[in-house]
Formats: sequence, structure tokens, C-alpha cells
Amino acid sequence: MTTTEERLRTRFQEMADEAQPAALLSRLDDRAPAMRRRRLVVAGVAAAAVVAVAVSTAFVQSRLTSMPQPAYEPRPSSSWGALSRRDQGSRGWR
Amino acid sequence: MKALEDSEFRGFVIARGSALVRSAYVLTGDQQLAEDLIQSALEKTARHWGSIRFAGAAESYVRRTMYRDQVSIWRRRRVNEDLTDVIPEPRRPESAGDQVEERLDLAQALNRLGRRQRAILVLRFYEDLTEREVAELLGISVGTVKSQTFKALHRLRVASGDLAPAGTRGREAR
Repeated sequence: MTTTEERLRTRFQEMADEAQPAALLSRLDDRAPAMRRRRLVVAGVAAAAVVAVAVSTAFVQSRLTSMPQPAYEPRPSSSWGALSRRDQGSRGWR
Repeated sequence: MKALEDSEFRGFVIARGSALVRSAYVLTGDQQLAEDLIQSALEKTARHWGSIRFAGAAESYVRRTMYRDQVSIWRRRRVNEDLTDVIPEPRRPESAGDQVEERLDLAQALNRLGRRQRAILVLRFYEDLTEREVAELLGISVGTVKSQTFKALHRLRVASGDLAPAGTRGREAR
């Protein structure tokens, strides 16, 4: 270790000794109502977000199900169609 | 908040509070800032007290939070930092009677460092952590820890003559 590092280490120890004891618990107790409020706000925002997502999903879903379905004749599948056309054709030749 | 009524949490704050304040004071250089920093770290700890208590890692969690908060404040308020490119002329203490002024010099030199540089120095030379441990705690690379330590020590040596090794005082300022 260099001299600089040793001196810095000593200085840090001196600074630490200068620190005054703090009433941490009473500060925390004073802040408790604000912390509780903040927690409630966070929970409220999260709940509101969940409700908003649920409502918008339900709305979109209801719109999709209430839309009129287009009327159309289902086309025969390609293999069946090819077979039936071939059958018709062969019938025509006869 | 439940943790604040938990006797284990309160016992932890009573038992380790003064050591945490000492670290925070060395880190910030100001009593009020140190108390604010610790309070914020303890509030975060209280929020996660259930899992931290079972892991038995309360103190390391508080310290990690404290150092990371300090560095992140530095990131947010970088513009307002009292950093200067102009390095003042170093003082060369001539007698033992100048000790108080020397101490002030060092305090001023430390205040001129960026928060991250100061945090790294405190972790290395006050908390006695290895470079790897400092890197993990602050979420940076070991290379950054090494380079920032070197730069911070250099700045301190130049700005505060009393920190320079006996044979090099004043030489680095030229």
C-alpha cells in the first residue's frame, strides 16, 4: 500500500469519527405515514392499470363478437374439388 | 409499514445505525446528506424486510442500496456537481501546526471528486473491499474501479499536497 492510500485511510477514519449519531428510528417513524401513503398510491395505480387492461380487453372482445359474420358458401377443399371436377368431366365425356 | 413495527428491524437499526451513519458520512462528507441517504436506504430495506431478514443480509442490503443511491444521484445531478478542470495550486504543509488546514484541504479535495470516484475510494480504503467486490457492489467493471481509483488518487494528490508521498509533493502539480 502506498503512503497516499495509508493517509487516505487515516483521513477516512477521522471523518467517520466526526459523524454525529443520528436518531434514525425516530426519523423512520416520522416518515411512516408518508411511506404508507406512497405504498397505497403505488397499489392503487397498479390496481387501476389492471382494471384498465381488463376493461379494454373485454370491450374489444365484445366488439369482435358482436360484428356481423360475412355470409359465404364454404369452398370445397382442393382435393375434393379436384376429384369432383374430374368426376363431372368424366361424366360429361360419357 | 409492517417492518417499522418489527422488533427485529428496529433492533437492527439500533445495533447498526451508528456504523451506517459513519459510512454515509464518509461517503457524503455532510451530516444531513448522510442521514438522508441512510434513511432512504432503510426505507427501501423496510419495504423488502421479509425477504432480506430471512436471507440474513440486512446490512449488506442497506450498504449496497446506500452506495448505489449515492452513485445514481451523481448520475442524475451530474451537471450540478462542483467539478472543475482547474486544479488549484497544491499546498505544501510546512509544520505540524497546519494539521487542521490540511484536513480541510483533503475534505475540499474529496468534495471535488465525482460521487462515483468518492464512493470507490470509500469502498476501497474505508470499507476495505477488494476491487472485485467494489465492482460487484456498484455494478461496474473491475477495470473501471481500477481506472477511477487511479484518477481519484491522482486528483487528490494534486489538489491536496498533504496526501502526496513525501518525495513527490508538488511535483505532480507541475
